[in-house]
Amino acid sequence: MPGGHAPIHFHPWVWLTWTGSTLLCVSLTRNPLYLVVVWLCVAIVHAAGGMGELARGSAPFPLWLSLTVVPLGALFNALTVHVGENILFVIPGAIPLLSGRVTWEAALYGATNGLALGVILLVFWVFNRNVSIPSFLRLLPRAFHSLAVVGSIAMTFVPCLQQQYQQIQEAQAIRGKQLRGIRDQLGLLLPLLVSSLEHAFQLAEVMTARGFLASLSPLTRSNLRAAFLGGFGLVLGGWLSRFWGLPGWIASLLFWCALALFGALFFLAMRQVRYTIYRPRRFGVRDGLAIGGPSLLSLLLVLNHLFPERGLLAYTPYPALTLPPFEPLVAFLLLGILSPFLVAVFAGHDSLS
Amino acid sequence: MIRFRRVSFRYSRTEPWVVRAANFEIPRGSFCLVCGASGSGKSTLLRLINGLVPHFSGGVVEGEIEVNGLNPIQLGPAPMSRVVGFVFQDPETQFILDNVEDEIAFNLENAAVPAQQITYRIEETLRGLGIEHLQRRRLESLSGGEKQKVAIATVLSLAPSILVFDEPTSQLDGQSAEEILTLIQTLARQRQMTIVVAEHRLDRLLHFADRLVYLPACGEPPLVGEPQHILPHIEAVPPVVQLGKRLGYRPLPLSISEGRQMLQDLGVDQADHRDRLLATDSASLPSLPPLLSAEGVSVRYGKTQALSEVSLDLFPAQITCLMGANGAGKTTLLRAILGLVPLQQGQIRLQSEDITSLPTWRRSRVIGYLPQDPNALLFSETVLEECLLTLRNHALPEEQGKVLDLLSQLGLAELVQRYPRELSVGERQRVALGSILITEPRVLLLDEPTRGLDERAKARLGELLRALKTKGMAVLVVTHDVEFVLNLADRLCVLKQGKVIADGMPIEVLRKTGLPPPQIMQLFPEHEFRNVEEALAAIGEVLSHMPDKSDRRAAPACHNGDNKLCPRESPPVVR
Amino acid sequence: MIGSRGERLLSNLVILASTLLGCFSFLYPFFLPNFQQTPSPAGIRLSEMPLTMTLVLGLCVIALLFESQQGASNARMVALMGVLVALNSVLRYIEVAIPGPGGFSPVFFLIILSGYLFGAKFGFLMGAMTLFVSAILTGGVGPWLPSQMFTAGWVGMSAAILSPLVVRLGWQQRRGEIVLLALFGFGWGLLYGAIMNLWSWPFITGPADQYWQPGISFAETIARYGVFYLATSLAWDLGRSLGNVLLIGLFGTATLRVLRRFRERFTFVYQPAEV
Repeated sequence: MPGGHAPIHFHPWVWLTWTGSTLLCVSLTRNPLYLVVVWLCVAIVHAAGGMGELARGSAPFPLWLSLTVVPLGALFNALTVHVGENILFVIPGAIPLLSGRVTWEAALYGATNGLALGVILLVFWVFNRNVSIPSFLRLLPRAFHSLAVVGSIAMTFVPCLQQQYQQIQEAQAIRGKQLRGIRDQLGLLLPLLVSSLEHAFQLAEVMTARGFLASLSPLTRSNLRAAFLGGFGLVLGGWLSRFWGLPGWIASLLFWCALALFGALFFLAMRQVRYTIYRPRRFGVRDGLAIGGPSLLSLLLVLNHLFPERGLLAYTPYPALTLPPFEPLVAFLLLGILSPFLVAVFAGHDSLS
Repeated sequence: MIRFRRVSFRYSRTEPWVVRAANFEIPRGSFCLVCGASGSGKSTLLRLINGLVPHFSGGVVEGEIEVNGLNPIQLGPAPMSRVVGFVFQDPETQFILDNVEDEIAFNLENAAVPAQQITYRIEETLRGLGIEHLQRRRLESLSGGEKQKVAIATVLSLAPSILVFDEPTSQLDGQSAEEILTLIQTLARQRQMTIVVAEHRLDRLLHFADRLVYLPACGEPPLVGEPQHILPHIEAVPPVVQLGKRLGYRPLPLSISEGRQMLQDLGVDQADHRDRLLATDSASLPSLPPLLSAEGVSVRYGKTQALSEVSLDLFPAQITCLMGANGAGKTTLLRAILGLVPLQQGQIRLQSEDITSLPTWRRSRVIGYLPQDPNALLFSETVLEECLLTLRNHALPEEQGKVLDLLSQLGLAELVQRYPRELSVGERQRVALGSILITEPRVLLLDEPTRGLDERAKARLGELLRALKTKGMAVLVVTHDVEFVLNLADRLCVLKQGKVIADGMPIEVLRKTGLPPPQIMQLFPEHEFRNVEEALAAIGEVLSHMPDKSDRRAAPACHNGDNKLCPRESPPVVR
Repeated sequence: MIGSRGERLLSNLVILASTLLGCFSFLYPFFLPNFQQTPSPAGIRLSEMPLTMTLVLGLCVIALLFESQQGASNARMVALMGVLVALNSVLRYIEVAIPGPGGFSPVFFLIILSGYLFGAKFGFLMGAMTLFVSAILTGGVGPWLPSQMFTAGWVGMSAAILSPLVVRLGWQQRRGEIVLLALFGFGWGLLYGAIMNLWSWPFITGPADQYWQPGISFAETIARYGVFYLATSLAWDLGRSLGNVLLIGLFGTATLRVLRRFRERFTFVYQPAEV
């Protein structure tokens, strides 16, 4: 266990990429063996503790909790999906949803799904714990400057609200009001709203005096907007092509074109915004190393997705149970999820020696 | 350089002018004080400099404004923010984010300063103000003074050449205000900045200013010129200036040392007239039984002992003031009396009845409490409704006549149907008082009631409290305002680190405890004057015995009909 | 370059398109039976559908946020929204900490009222940002976030429709206004639940193709969903709906009055007077 190493903090980008890649893995495979590998990797990173700049959401999230969804998923799926050849038992009658065959296949599939969900919960828990709120807001692209400011104001104002709430409660008592029941409590909402609005007005004046200009839609140029609409058209076209029974590669092509178009648009839109975003945290060598594993993993996953004939990750227990395929190479790639942990351990050794 | 050419402003075409025919220049590098009562248009005038008025407020502007060659009316506040740094009144509401570093970065981000420079600029600005240790702090953990310093840092980070302060100390306690005023002086001295300050506390900045803008009233043209020329027109001036004015002494003394010089010149600085000077009516503490008493009260917040075994008796028909440094436990004592904080030990007695276990809402029937921010007490749609609400809360009969009587006593008769939160600071405070006094409490506790009030509102509050006192009420006032204490209090208590360290006659306590003395005590350290009137009466008596000196160098200000100054003092006023 | 009318049209089109696409990505389970018949190896790929849908939905939310930023076009609106979002996030936090009866949630009250008073774009941002901020505050960022943001944003956006309706009926500041808003809140209470179920249903229970056996018609799918909804969440959602009605009925008038008092101050835009 990584008990001895010096605390190391990774850049928020590392955690964003890490979260993204892991989610990609989880959503692309229902192969239980691979999912177990992913779960193990995430669990190790999780157990290694805070490797972000700030540990927040300090409520502990025990590992077993992420596994409770496994039996639940199995139970739910087995009881509601009546497909598969290995029958456990049969629920008689005509109860909607429940009546029918209960099969091993459905149970396994449910368990796999539950495991996927467990991994997702765990991944987000790790993300939330390792990325501080200001860093999270700084991850928002420049084009969302106004919204990032809305977010920051809200974050700053929440603790003030608690104080104000208490102040109003006291003011009510001073005025001889006895607070009874939920209705009186909710009645405090109104004075709270009034003082919040007054606060907002003063804040707005301060912001204006200090040079804040709200960013309008970055799509202020009509050609950008038109291109945006085109992108939506492509996505819709992709779906319709599937809907009308055209080959899958057409849909894929349209989807990827749309994605590329949106990417280009965001890039263009971003260049129109005249703000800088101050990120006190620099991206260092360790961050580069830690981001390597997940990046490589997602790249390969996307490539594999583009050429689906290989179907490396594909597995379905239906119609009859088979042993899921397990390729050591794939498992090795999945270990990329561990890279923040590995970098932390080695960096810790460096600093000791 | 700031130039106003015949500038007038009003908030809409149907409303009266707020600023009228302002025509003046503030040269580069000068230190300009803007003064005038609340509501005389000071804030509006300041906001015209950076375009907040009319861009933020709306309204109609006439005339031309030029600030460093730019026109704020055309450009608006965002571009002006690089030229004019604007510091607001209330440290609690002028921050957008939650920590110092991000707060300063906000300005730089919006000005599109390259990201690599931001770190450097933040550090440099903080170092320049001597507050580099605050860089990583959360804003909520800072004191009022520190917050104001950070506010100054945020605007300084863009290296403006003009700094505008809108009453920067009015929401601060004495100690923090002192720090900020010192900082403003240092900035003026060390950097070649133009500084414009609107401030109630003229006493600290007056001898520093080379220019004064005086707004006589809302919609009247401002008087602008050197302090010596403008001061004779201003009513609410610091005691030293007041004394100089009344004695007809020129040039007017602007600081304590100049005041001492004046006394020396007039020959009234000798201490041997003591017997002729009025002694204060040393009324002994009344022998009546106390109305309210706190006995051995201790309060603990987490690890800090806020109050330790404090005992305090409040007597009917007496005004007691409570002073002490920040965190000495003054507010905590008031809250303990009201039952807003749990007592660790001790008890609160009303007459002889123990009310320690009574909930706050029951106590509030007989103990009125005006918290620091009277806004918190205002809930209703109209002033009238505000008072009725209290009666309703206490299940008392809602007699409108009684409420109207009280409101007219408070000078609010014409405002009964107004929305309380739209009124001026002083009016809002009186509405809040009205909502408390309507139950006719026997004890009244006030927490820093003079904060943010101008001289006129302060005087009015003083009168009101005296009237309540004559009705037999026991009044306890927490304050930092020594002048107010000296004028009003029958008794002064001082708290230090949760303990009462002094209790007695205000002047004696002030001398004994080394609190910053009011100007009048600094001028006459040997005497017991409470205000300029008493000093003047005594001096008049002394002077009457020295006829040869009585009008030496006296040059009373002369006026002609339309308020223009005499030709020999020109060119003092630019209109 | 197109004139400002064209701009507005395009902007509305972007909003419409992202809304429709977002709806489609919610409703896809109903179209799945048709996908099923395709000859491609789609059967395998169907497990990716939730991911794809989340991605598409994320894209729609981004597009809507882009366009809606005009609802917060100056410092005043930004500050106003920041503060309202904070207030609403605290309400949501209270909802999480002290679960009320059923799906009772005070979070929609302010979203509906602000959408109603400040317009569709503001309403959308209000809904979306409330969910966003409360998610990062409570550490609840997850794959469900885009759909929550989208749906809550939609609640606020659609509330703006009521405004011209009330004006036409002449119900401003009358009881009818509150009744209408309360009905609206009731409807959205149920709808919100139904939409959120749609998203989580296939994600949690497994591949949709197993759920809808081949050959099931569109109508039959909806009927099945109806059963599922009745069985699992109607009671829960009724709590939310009644909560909305209760809140709007109790505090609607007073809150509207407060917001109206401030509306002028926040929405005004300075225009220099002609000389």
